[in-house]
Amino acid sequence: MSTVLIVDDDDQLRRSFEKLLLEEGYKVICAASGEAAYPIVCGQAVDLTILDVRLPGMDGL
Amino acid sequence: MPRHFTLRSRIVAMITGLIVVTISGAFVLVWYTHRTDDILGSLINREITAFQTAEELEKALINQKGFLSYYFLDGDPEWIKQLGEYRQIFKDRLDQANSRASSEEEREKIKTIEKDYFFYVELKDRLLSLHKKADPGYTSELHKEVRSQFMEVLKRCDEFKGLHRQMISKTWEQSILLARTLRAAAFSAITLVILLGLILAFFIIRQILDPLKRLTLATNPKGSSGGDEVKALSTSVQGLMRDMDKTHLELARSRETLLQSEKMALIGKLAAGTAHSIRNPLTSVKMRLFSLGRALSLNTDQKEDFQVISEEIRHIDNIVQNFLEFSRPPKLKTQMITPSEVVDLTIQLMRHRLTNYEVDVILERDGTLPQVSADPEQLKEVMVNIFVNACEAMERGGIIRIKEEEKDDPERGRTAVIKISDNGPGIPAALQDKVLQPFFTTKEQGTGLGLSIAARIVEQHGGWLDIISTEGKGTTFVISLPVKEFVQ
Repeated sequence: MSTVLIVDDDDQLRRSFEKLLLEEGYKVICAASGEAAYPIVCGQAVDLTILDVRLPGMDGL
Repeated sequence: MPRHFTLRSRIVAMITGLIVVTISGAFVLVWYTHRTDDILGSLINREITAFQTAEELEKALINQKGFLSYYFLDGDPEWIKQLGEYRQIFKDRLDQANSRASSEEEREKIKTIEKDYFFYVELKDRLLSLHKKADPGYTSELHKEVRSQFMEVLKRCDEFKGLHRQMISKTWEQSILLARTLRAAAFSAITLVILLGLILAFFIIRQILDPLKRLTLATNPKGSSGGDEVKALSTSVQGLMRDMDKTHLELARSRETLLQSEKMALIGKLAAGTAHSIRNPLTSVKMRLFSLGRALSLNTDQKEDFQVISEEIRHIDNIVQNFLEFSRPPKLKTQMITPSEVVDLTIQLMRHRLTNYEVDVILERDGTLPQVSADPEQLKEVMVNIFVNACEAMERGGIIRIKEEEKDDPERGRTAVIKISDNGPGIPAALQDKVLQPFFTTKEQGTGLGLSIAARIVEQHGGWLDIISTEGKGTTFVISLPVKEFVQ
């Protein structure tokens, strides 16, 4: 099963993505900021990351 | 020339100098003629008369000679009487000379003559009385003495005459000297007048006429500079004033435009902020709706509702997208490309939409257009926007005609031209200026940004977007791109 990481500071948007992807049968991990997402990317194998460019603190780039 | 004097004061000073020199020259001339009159008058009246008197005095003396000898010879008393007459004449002349004498020297001379003469007369009288008495004292010695005394008086008279001659020549020399001085003054006055005249001419030419000429040339380089400088200048100044009026009008117009675009920029910023804020929740709504659509089993009515909602949300998304793009134009990523290629790409991209709108595309191409420096993505956006506008204008079943041309504009240089024409209803003349303005739209669902984005992209490429439209016959959008080096 593929793992998708969603990084977005917008709560509603993150949850909508999560719901949609879960329905499709993916394993979903969420992070609200770049700082929170960084250890997840380093810690485990993520197949796809949906990353917002503009984030508070560390940005998507 | 010192710089701190104004041009006006310098010219006034020079003209004053000229007038003063000329007038004083004239006055000196008048004075000189008076002076000459005086000198000549005194020469004739005084000196020459005095000289004549001196000569007559001498003559009267010489005439006295011999009478005594004649008397001694024949003893006629007539000789003595005649001698007495001449003596009287001499005395009269002497008085005359004395009354005319003007200098101390003259009087001195006359006095000496008088003294010597009286002595001579006395000697002569003594000789006569001795002779009458036949006195032995009468000697040739005394005779000799009388003669020598006569010579003495004669010498004195000669001296007196010489004095007057001297005075005449002195007066004459004085007048010559005066004439020489005057000549020198006249020469220096002439030199001064010429010099002042030259300087004045130099000033007028250098400081007035040359600057006027330069000014005329500067204000009106095409105008003829020959002839009357002042007239030429006034003509060009009039031209300048006309230009200024025109510029003023243009300035007012551009100020209006600037105000308008400032307003637009503000609105754009506001819209962009709003659009950006809307975008996130909208995406959320879109996704929720999508998953909802899959989960629900709806009846036909509900399905239609659902479709309308989805369609409207897509429309909102589209508007938001346009707003964002308008407010934050992406930087051009230019490359050398022929616009023909972009036309092909656009047609390919739009095929589906064109089919939906039942629009046919006719491409007129003589050969690929020359390469221009352009961002193909942005250029494609321009064409897409124009295509979409055309499709929407024509509603169903129109024809889009694309014509590619290469033009050589004398003002703008070589350009690649793409004409996109539709056969829709056209744009009313009154609205043609407004079509390219942001937020101007005639459509219910338009944002009024599509064509203004297109125009801006073309302008960013150093080109220009023109609209030729006849109401009822359709509209032609003309994209002109410079072939020369791209100017950002």
